[in-house]
Amino acid sequence: MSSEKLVINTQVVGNVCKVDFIGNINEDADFEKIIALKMPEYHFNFDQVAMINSCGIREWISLITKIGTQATIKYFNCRQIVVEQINVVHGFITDKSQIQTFYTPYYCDKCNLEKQVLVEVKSINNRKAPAIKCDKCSSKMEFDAIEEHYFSFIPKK
Amino acid sequence: MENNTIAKIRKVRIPIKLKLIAVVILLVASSLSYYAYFALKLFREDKSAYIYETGLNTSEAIAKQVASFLDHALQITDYLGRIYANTPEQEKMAKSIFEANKNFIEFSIYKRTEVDGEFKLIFAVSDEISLSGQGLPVDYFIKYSQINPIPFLMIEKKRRYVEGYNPASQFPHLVLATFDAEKNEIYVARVKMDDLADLIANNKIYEILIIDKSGRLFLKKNLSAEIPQAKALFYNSLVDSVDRKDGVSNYVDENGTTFLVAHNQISGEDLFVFAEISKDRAFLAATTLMNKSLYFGIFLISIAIIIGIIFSRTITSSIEKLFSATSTLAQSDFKNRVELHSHDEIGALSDSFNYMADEIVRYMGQMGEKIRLENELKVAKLVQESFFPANNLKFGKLEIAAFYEPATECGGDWWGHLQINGKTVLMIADATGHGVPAALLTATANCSASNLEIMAQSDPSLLNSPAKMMRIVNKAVCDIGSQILMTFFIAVIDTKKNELIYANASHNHPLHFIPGQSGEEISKQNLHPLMDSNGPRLGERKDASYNDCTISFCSGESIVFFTDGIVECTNKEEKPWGNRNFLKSIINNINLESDKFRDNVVGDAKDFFAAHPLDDDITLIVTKFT
Ligand SMILES: [Zn+2]
Repeated sequence: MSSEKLVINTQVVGNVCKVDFIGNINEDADFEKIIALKMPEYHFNFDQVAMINSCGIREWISLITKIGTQATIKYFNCRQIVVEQINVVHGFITDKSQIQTFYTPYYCDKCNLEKQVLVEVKSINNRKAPAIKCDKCSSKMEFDAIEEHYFSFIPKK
Repeated sequence: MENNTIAKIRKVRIPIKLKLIAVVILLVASSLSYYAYFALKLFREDKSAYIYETGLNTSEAIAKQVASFLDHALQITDYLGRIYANTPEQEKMAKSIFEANKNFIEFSIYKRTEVDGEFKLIFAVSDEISLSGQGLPVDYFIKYSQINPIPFLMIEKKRRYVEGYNPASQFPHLVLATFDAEKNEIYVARVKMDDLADLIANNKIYEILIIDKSGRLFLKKNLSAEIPQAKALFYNSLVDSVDRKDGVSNYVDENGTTFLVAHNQISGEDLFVFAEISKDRAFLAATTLMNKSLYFGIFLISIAIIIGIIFSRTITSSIEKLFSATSTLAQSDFKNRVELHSHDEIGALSDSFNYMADEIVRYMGQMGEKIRLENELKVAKLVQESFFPANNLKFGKLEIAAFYEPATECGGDWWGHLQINGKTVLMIADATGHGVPAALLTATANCSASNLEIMAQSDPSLLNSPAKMMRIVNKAVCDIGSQILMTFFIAVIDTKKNELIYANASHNHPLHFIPGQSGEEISKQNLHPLMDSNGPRLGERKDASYNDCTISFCSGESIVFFTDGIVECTNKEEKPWGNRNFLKSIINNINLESDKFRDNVVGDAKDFFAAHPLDDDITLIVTKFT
C-alpha cells in the first residue's frame, strides 16, 4: 500500500495553485514541485487521499513549514484521515490555513452502513454534526466520532 | 535428522553405466543383425543364381567338348573306311593314319554280303602296344565283338553311332561307327576314353557324367563306382523330359543330401551331360562367408562393449563423482567440491553443484548471522521490557492498568510513570514506525524520564509544568538527530487536589470519561478528549514550545491513554478495528475495575484481529480515580 507513490497534480489559475493529491501520503511523498511554484495561494484537494502515515506527516509538516509562512493555504475535501491529523498533529495546518470543506463520518447501526458526507466548515455550528438520514432506512444516522473532538479544528464561535 | 536425510537417498540398483552399456550393445547388435540378415539374404540369393548358372555352363561346355571330340573321331573313322580299297598301298595308308591317331585302339570294316545280307568283317587293324599294355591279346576286340555284337542294324539306320562305356570290356573304350550306303560298309572304331575321362576328371568342382537316352551310362569320372539306383532313375527322368534339353534340378538322396544337377544334351547325339554338385558344397563359400560374418559381428559387438564400457566409464565416473559429492553434502559435509573438466552437461552440472554448495555455505553463514541478530533482538526486547513499569499499579486513589504489545520484537511505543511528592507523572509515547530504530528512541524516552525524576526531586516546581518537562525530553530526542520523531503525552496527576495538568506533543488525545447523571446511559458524549494542549512531535525542532492544560477530576472518572496501534491494527481482511469499535468497547467496560476494563478492551480488539499479526505496536493505559 505504502509503495504506491503519491500523485500530485497542480493547476495554476491566476494567483492560485490548485493541487490534487492522489494516493498515500507517506515517506515517499515528494512535495518539491509545490514548493518550487512559490504561489501566494494554494488550494489543496484531499478528495483522493487514501492514507497518511507518521512518516508522511513528517514530510507534510516540512512542506507546510516551507510554504505556510508566505502563502495562504485552503484545504478542500479533507478526508476523515486528514481531519484526524489536523486535530492531533501540531503543524499539520498553519495559522494562515483555512479549511473549507471536509468529510464527516456517519454510521447507521441498523443497516451497518457507513457514509462520508462532505460539508463546508461554515455550515458547522457549535461543533455539532449536521443531521443526516440513512440512505437505506431513512432513520437518523449516528455521527461516527466524538463531535467535540472531530470538529475541534473549527474555532468556537 | 542427519540419518533421515541419508535414508532419503535411494539405493542405486541399476547404475547408469550398465544402462549405457546395454544401450550400446543393443544398438550395435540390432543394427548388425539387421544388416547381416538382409545382406546375407541378398548374397545367398545372388550366390545361388550364380551357382545354378555355373552348373549349367559347365555341363554345356563339357557337352560341346564331347560333341567336338566325337565329331572328330567319327570323321576319322569315316575317312579311314572310305580310303580303304583293298590295295596294299591304301591299306598301308589307312594303317598309318590309324597309328597317327593315338586314341584309336581298333578299326574294322564290315561289308554286307550279297548271300545273306549280313555284315562280315573284311578289315581290322588294332593297336598292339595299347592292348598289350593292358595285358590283352592283339585279337581281343575281334573276340570281344563276337560276345558283344556290334549293332549293325542300328548303325545302318542311324548312319552314325556312338556307344559309351561297357563294363563288360576289359579295356574301357568308346565305339564309333559310320555306315557307307554306297559301299554297303560299316566302319567301326574303338577309341580310348582317356581324353574324355580327363575332361571330366579335370573339373574339380562338379561331378560330371554322361548318359545316353536309354539311360545307359556313357561316361563318368569313376567308371568302376556304381550309380545308386535312385539317382539313376532321377537321371533317366531328366533325360525323358523331352522339353528339357538343358536345365538345373535339385536331387535329394537317401541320406537327405541335396544335389544341384545341371544337364545339357550333346548336340547331334542322344547323350546328356550331367554336372552335379552337393548343395552344401555349392554354398560352401556363402556359408563360409556367413560364418565369417557371424564371427565378425561378434567381434564388432565385443568392440562395441569395450568402447561402451570405456565411454560409459568416462561419463559415469563424472556422475559417480557428483553423486558421492551430493551424498557427502547430504551428510552435512559442506567443504566437498567436485572437479570435473568435461565440457558437457555433467561438467556444467558440477559447476552448478559447486555453486549450490557455495550458496549453501553462504546461506548458512547468513542464517547464522540472522540467528545472531535474532538473538540480539531478543536481548534488546528483554532490555526494552525493563523500560516498562508493572501493568497494574495503584497509588492512593489512582489506579493504573496498562497493556503493551509490540508488533515485532522491539516496539516504538513506550509508557512510564514517576511518583514524586505524592504526584504521579504518567507518560505515553509513540515513535514513528516501529522495530529497532523506533525502539532505540524509546530508550531515550525512558532515560529522559529518569532524568526528569532527578530534576523534579530537586526542583518540585517542574511538576507544575509538564510542558517544561516536554521541552526537556524534546531536547534529548532532538539531540539524537535521528529522522525518527515521537509523539509524547505527559500528565501530572495530583490526587490530593483532584487535578491533572497535561502537555501534548501531537499524541493521540487521551479520553477523559466523566459520567453523567446517575441512571443516564453512557455514550460518546461522556468521553472528552484531552485536546487543549498541542505541540510539535518530539524531534521535529529543538525550539518547539508546548503548553500546559489543567483539568480537574472526580472519583469515578477515568482517563484512557493509548497509541494509534489499537485503532489502526487490522484483521486479515485488512480492515482496521477503528475508532467506533474502540469507543464502543470503552463505553461498554468503563464501569469495570481498571484491570478488567483494560482486559476487556484489549480482548475486544484481539477478537477482531483474530490471528492476524499486529501491524503496529499497541499501548493502552486505563487510569481510574477511586
Ligand atoms: Zn439505516
